[in-house]
Amino acid sequence: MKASPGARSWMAAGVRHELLTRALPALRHEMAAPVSVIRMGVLLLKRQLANAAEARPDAAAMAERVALIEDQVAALAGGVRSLRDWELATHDDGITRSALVAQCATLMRVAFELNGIGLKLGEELAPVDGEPRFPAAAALRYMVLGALGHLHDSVPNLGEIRVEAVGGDGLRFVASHGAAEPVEPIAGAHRAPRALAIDAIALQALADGLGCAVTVEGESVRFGLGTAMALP
Amino acid sequence: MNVLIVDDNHAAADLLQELLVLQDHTACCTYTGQQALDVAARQRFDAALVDLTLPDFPGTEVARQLRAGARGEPPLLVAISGYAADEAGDAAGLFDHHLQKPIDFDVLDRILARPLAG
Repeated sequence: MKASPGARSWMAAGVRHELLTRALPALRHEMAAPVSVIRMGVLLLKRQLANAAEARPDAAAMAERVALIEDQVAALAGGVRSLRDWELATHDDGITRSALVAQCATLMRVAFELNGIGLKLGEELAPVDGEPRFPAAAALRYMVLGALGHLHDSVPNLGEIRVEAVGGDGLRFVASHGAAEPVEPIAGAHRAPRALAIDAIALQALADGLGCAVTVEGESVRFGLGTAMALP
Repeated sequence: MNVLIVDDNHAAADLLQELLVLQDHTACCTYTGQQALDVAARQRFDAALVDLTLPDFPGTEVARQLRAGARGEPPLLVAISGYAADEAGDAAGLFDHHLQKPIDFDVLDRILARPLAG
């Protein structure tokens, strides 16, 4: 029985879900950091106020603490808002290639490095003034994570993934092998054997669902940024 | 206790230091793995609170070197991370405890009190 168009859409949705699941620890980490500072700041204020009978509280220090908490609340609010980055149906202003790569690399870098896998970005991917913005930023985020996830899951003894610009509107992800003896994984859960590996079929299903033309050549993945659709 | 804090988030490290001092501990802040190892080479700590994601090398490497380089009893090693224990991994048994951010201070108080009680 051939998969119906509906079934292929579900398959693409499943791949997006898997990729978001992999990014979630980093997304949570980004929001836990300001919450942690807020909690400690409030606790410190409470303890200082509790001691106020014995020692006169330093008003300037307390005002500084409140300002710090306000900054962290703003950072947390930004983190909550940024969750919309993952909603395909959301209208967005598009994203530059350099920002796209930087954001996705930041999300996955810790997971990769804890397992001895380097993530290198080509110098040509540094931000420059007047860079074009590509529409369907959410779809492009999933495509970048999909390419990284595919190489992560399919290349044996992976040592490094290098991300390169292709022309003015494309990206290429190239895997290279590590040392003969794989590094003992520090964070086993990040590279645990996955029931849902992003194999070539899964990556193709993802790309089809996003309307993006992807090419897998050996241990590299390439796609253009101008082809993704805003809606699945 | 004399506590070493290793966290590249300066605000978090500094607040943690103040809270520990309020709890009658002494605490030293460092913001990179290398800073932590340099300080630990000169000074003995009873405990180290180590963020797992540091700018220069992983917190697990800091823990490994603190344990290996300890003269006498190694410090109590506590991982602090936005990642849960099963995500960040301490499979090698490097850390004695894992605290997920935001830190539960009641739990930290109990962890730091335990060796003194023993």
